[in-house]
Amino acid sequence: MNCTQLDQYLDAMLDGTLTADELSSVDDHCQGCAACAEKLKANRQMMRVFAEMAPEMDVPLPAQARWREAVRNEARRPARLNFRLIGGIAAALVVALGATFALKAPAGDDAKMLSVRTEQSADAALSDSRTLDAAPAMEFEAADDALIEADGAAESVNMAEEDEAVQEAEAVEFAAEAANLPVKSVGAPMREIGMVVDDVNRVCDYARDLAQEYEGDIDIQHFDEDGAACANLYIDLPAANAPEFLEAMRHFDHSGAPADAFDVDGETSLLLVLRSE
Amino acid sequence: MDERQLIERAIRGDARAFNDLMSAQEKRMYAVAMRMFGNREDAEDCLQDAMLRIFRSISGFKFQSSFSTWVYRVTMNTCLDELRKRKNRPNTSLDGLLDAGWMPADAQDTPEQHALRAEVRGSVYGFIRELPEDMRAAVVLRDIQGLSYEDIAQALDTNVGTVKSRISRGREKLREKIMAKSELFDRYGV
Ligand SMILES: [Zn+2]
Repeated sequence: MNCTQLDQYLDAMLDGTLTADELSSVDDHCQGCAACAEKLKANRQMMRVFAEMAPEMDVPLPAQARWREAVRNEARRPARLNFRLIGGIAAALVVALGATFALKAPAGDDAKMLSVRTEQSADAALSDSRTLDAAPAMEFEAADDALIEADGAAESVNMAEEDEAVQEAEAVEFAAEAANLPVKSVGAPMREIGMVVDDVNRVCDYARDLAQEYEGDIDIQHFDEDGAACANLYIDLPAANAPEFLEAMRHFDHSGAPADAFDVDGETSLLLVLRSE
Repeated sequence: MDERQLIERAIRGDARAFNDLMSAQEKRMYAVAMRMFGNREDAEDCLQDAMLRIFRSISGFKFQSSFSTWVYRVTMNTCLDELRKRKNRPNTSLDGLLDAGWMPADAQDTPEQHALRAEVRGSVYGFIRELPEDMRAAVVLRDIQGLSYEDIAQALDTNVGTVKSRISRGREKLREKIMAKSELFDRYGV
């Protein structure tokens, strides 16, 4: 070997890929070349230092407690708002309510029970949700909270892709539960959507106001199931107003259902089945 | 519960599952942050920021790379963002970091050897912190964390060629700094 090749041999030495033959040729060269011998020595010293630097370090207990608490606080924040997807009055209402929500959010950090029942096939929902998958995982510039939230919402839609099997299983589970719910018979075909919310009464109040805002009729039946407060919300809306109404309601849903599970197309009769988490 | 199940639960906002999941990662994340910042306070802040980023964006994890590589990626991005933000601010002192994160001292160390090791550590921490950030990130992931070149390329969102060149140049700079302090390092031995 010659002096210009030394660096690559030194890299191979650090990477542990230097062969015995290569090592002896390095040693041979360094016998007669003081400059390379110095670099070789420095390389070995560096290797020793690296070897003493641990790839894992114990996190001080207060720091452990701090990040865990920060994550729990983050988990308690209200369902993320996606400001890109909502406009006008609905946005204002949801933002205002989101603020109230944050104050009253429950303290538990247990797994949220998820369920969603939609008339769309899971596949259709998934392929649609991909179009929203614009924000890459790591683009959380610490600019402002609202933007972070908006990114988070766009990303949270990705869960559909990851969780297809689980979601389907839970959709089946929810459908089975829904079969036992009191059902009001109606003439028109009814779009039925299951939502998991943190406070059924609060969301019912909101839905009542929102239905009025969107010129709709609403009929609410409360019931309990396995100790969980539930409600059936029968809603009739002008077709033109239904999408915005549902878009606003969607932000109370903690089931993690993809956004398009709340899409409606020309339907005016809705049944929202709320269940507290 | 295995890693995948914990990830799936974390994606749904389950903080407890997330905390379980990340307990297996936090020591590596903290070591990375310590190497990048060189002090506990910044490393702890960075750890928390990285944890929150991961929690918020975990639904973006596609199960295509290993979870730990993805975690390295977010952690390193968090460090680099913070370092770039404070580019014009003076570095915090090296106090309090000299004994952090090193393998336990040899029980047979004499007090003189112990002091020498501490001095070497302090010097090397300083050397690493003098490297340009991109170079520092690549060297830390390769030579301290032991990631493969491919995983480093994923973690730093660049290609293997760039990674190799950053590491090679980073090592070259470290060798030069060690040679410039050969009096100290020769006492430390080979
Ligand atoms: Zn030579």
